[in-house]
This record gives sequence, C-alpha cells and structure tokens, in this order.
Amino acid sequence: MTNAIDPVIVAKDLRKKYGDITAVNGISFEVRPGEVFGMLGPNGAGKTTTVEILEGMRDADSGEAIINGINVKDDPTAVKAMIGVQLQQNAFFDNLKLSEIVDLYAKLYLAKVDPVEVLSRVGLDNRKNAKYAELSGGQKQRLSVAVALVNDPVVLFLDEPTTGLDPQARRQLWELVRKIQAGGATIVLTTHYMEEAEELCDRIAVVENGEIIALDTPDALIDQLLSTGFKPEKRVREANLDDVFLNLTGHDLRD
Amino acid sequence: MFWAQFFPLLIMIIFGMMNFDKYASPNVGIYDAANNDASQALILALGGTSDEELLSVTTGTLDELHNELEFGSSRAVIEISTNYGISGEFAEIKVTYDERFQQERAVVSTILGQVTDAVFKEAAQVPDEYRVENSIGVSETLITGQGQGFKAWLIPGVAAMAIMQTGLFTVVFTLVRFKSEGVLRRLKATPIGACSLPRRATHDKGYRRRRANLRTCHSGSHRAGSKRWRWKNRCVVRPNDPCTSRRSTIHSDRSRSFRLG
Repeated sequence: MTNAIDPVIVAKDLRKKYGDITAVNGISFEVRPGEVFGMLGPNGAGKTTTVEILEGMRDADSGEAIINGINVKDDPTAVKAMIGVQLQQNAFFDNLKLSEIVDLYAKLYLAKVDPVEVLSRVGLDNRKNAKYAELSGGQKQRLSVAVALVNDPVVLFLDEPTTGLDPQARRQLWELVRKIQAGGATIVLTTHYMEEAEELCDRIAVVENGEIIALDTPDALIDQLLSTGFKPEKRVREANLDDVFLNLTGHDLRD
Repeated sequence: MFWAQFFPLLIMIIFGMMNFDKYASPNVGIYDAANNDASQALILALGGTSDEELLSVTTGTLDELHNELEFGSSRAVIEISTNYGISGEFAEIKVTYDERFQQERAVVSTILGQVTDAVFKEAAQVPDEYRVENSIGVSETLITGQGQGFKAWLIPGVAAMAIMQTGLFTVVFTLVRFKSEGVLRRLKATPIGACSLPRRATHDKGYRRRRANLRTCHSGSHRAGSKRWRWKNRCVVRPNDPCTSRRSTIHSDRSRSFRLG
C-alpha cells in the first residue's frame, strides 16, 4: 500500500518554548492519508500548540512540520490553502449571516461553494439567514466545522470540536467526522473525551508535558494496559449515563 | 495599522514641510492714473526689493482691480491720483480694502504709510521738521467682497478632520475588537496574508500561481485509480479540488523516485 509509506503529516522533533515554559518538547509523529489521528492530553499538555504549529499559525523553535509534502515553515500559505482549521476558540463576524460567513471564507480560500450546501453538512441550512451572534454554543461550533470544510481540505484540524456540545450534537458531529473521513480527508482531532477518541480515532497520541507518551490504536493501547494486569475497579455496565440521557431526550438535534 | 501609525506621521511630515512662518506678501492691485516717474517710483517701492518683497503688485484698469478685490484674488486696490508727483499739489491715494481681511489691511496700510513717508522725504528733500504731512493723503474705503472668506476653508477643514477622526477610530476599534474576539486569529488560519486582507477576495497573483502549481499527476508509479497531485516537482495526495481540477494537465514524470517528508 502506497498509503502506508507516504504520510500526509510529518512532525519531526517539534519544540516550542513560551518564555521559561516548554509547551512542546520534541514531538514527532506521522499521520497517514485518510486517518483520523487523535491527540489526547490534559489541559496545557501542548496539544493545541502542536496543532497550531502544523497549521502554520505558530513557528516552532525547532523541528520540522510537513503537510502533504510541503514544509509548513517554507510555505505556510500553501499549507493553509489545503488544510481546514477549526480553532479551539472560534470567532466570526457577529453581524454576518451564516451563508455570508461561509461565502466569505470560501472566497478567502478562492473556492467556489454553495453556502447552503456547506451549511447543510452540519445541519445549519435552516439557519442560513441567522446572524452569527444569534447562534447557540453548539451551533457556533458546528458553523466553525462547516467553515473549515469550505476549501475541501486535504487535512482537517479539529481542536476540541465537541467541547461544550450536548450529547446529541456531539454524536452528530462524530457522524460528520466519519463522513469527512470517508470523503478522503485526513483528520487531526484533539479532545478531552475518551469515548470520542475511542469512537473516532484510528490512532491516538497521548500528550503529556509537551511529549508524546503513548501512540497507537485505541485497541492496542487498551490491550497494552490490560497486559500489565490492570483491572478496572468496577465492571463496565452494558449502558452508561450517556445512553440514558439520549434514551430520555432522543437523538434529534436541538438548537 | 496604516491609518493609526503612518497616516499621522505622513500628515506631520507634510505639514512640517510647509513653511507657515514665511511672510506671504498680500496681493495688491495698483491703478496708476498719474503714470509719471514719481508714481512709478512709488509702485516700485511698494513692491519692495527682490530680497524683501513688500507687496505683490499687479496693475490694470480700475474695474479689473476692483473686480479682483471683490472676488478675493487681491486684498487691496490702491488708486494713485493724476496729480501725484506734481510738486505743490495735494495728491490723494485712495485705498480700498476688503473688510474681511483685517490682517492684510493692517499690513498694506503700514507698508503704504511708511513707503509714502520715505518717498515724500526723498522727493521733497526737505528736513523732517519741515515735512508737510498732507501733501500726500491716504484715504481708506472698506468693501465687503463676495465669497466665503476664511469660513470657506475652515468649515470644510473641520468637517474633513471630523470624518478622518471617525474613520481612524472606527478602523482601530474594529480591529482591536476583532483581535480580542479572535476573529483575526481565525483569519490567520486562512491562506490570506495580513496585508492582503482587503484585496484577497478579488485577486492575489501569488496565491493563484501557487494554486496553479498543483496539477494532476499521471506518473505510472502509483496504484491505478488513486488520485495523485503534483505540487511543483513533488507528488502529493490531493482529493478533489474545484480550484485546480480545471487546470489538470498531463505531463511526464521526471522524478519517479520521490519521497515525502
């Protein structure tokens, strides 16, 4: 398989310091095309900084970031043109309608899209004439994913996309991520939700203090833990509270 | 950025280069009815020397000169009577001012007074104590000219400054708000440069050129059916791209043994 040899993202020994604090301390990994790559880690572990270096939004102190064969440092504009970005804190122009925001960002990428079609991918087509300021938190999050898709990206970076979403919206977003993956894009996802990582990610990097302390498929990581003789304290029940909540409130998306 | 930092600097430089201290001699129209040596000497004296210009003198018919005064292109009309310079006769110099320009009026009046004094002394060649004051008399008339006078430039100036200030603060505050809300951060993640923000939506040659570098790759070294794109001389994975697919061209693959990363 050619896919196995040509990684779409290469991070080589990335390092970044903010003053005395080392945010990223020698992170290296490769992401294959079509993969959903998860980055897990506590707050301040360096996930976002790593992602931002890959996005070309921050310069690494040392190390190399290569996206689709292009060194991010050499040609950040070319890299930005072919990636989709969803930032942790998203802000758009408050007084623009959603369709206008999508149109604007499509123009910034010189892409021709139908705003309504893009909005319908995240289930916001019925809100196309609403202004950004009128949206709920979950809708804002979904809009930011829609905007990240305007240029039909090779690599999609999702930084904590489901933080602050209700279980319905989160499941809908998972569905969307799988759809995007099926469309051929590679996805880099950071999250705090383990079930999300387990559900979506093909491989997971666990980041701690700016270093990757584990990198494998979710199943392999669990197997490794079990092989050390680890036993969970409580037997996992067949359903969890998430299922209870969804059973009670339904799977329909709320606004 | 430009309006907040460079524009004030630009204004300062422009105004700094203007020399406001320089004495601008007032335009004065002189009608010489006498037209003799003495009156010409007087006109020459009023004009001053080339080193120190006193008044900027124009001559013409009385009607022309009054017309100029009326419409603001000159500040005073000096009419020298026919008997000027004839000894023993009382010559009257009639001066007409525009009452809106009191400062120029004072300047012209002072210069005229001093010059006539000096001319008289020289011409009469009498000691100061025998000087007959009124053998040259100066009479003043005030008219109100047409047009707006200083209001004509003060009001547009105030209006222009108000608009400029509003524009400046609006731009600065909007940018600051965008920065603090994170809108600019999101824009930073797009392929636009900070400087090309306003023109990006219309055209950016560099970006189009870079896009044009992306072409479909038809080298034989790939799995059949897999979609490959060329970026400059490298072969890259690239899903459907509406921007570049219309540019797709077939070209030979020079570097078959490529490596990524």
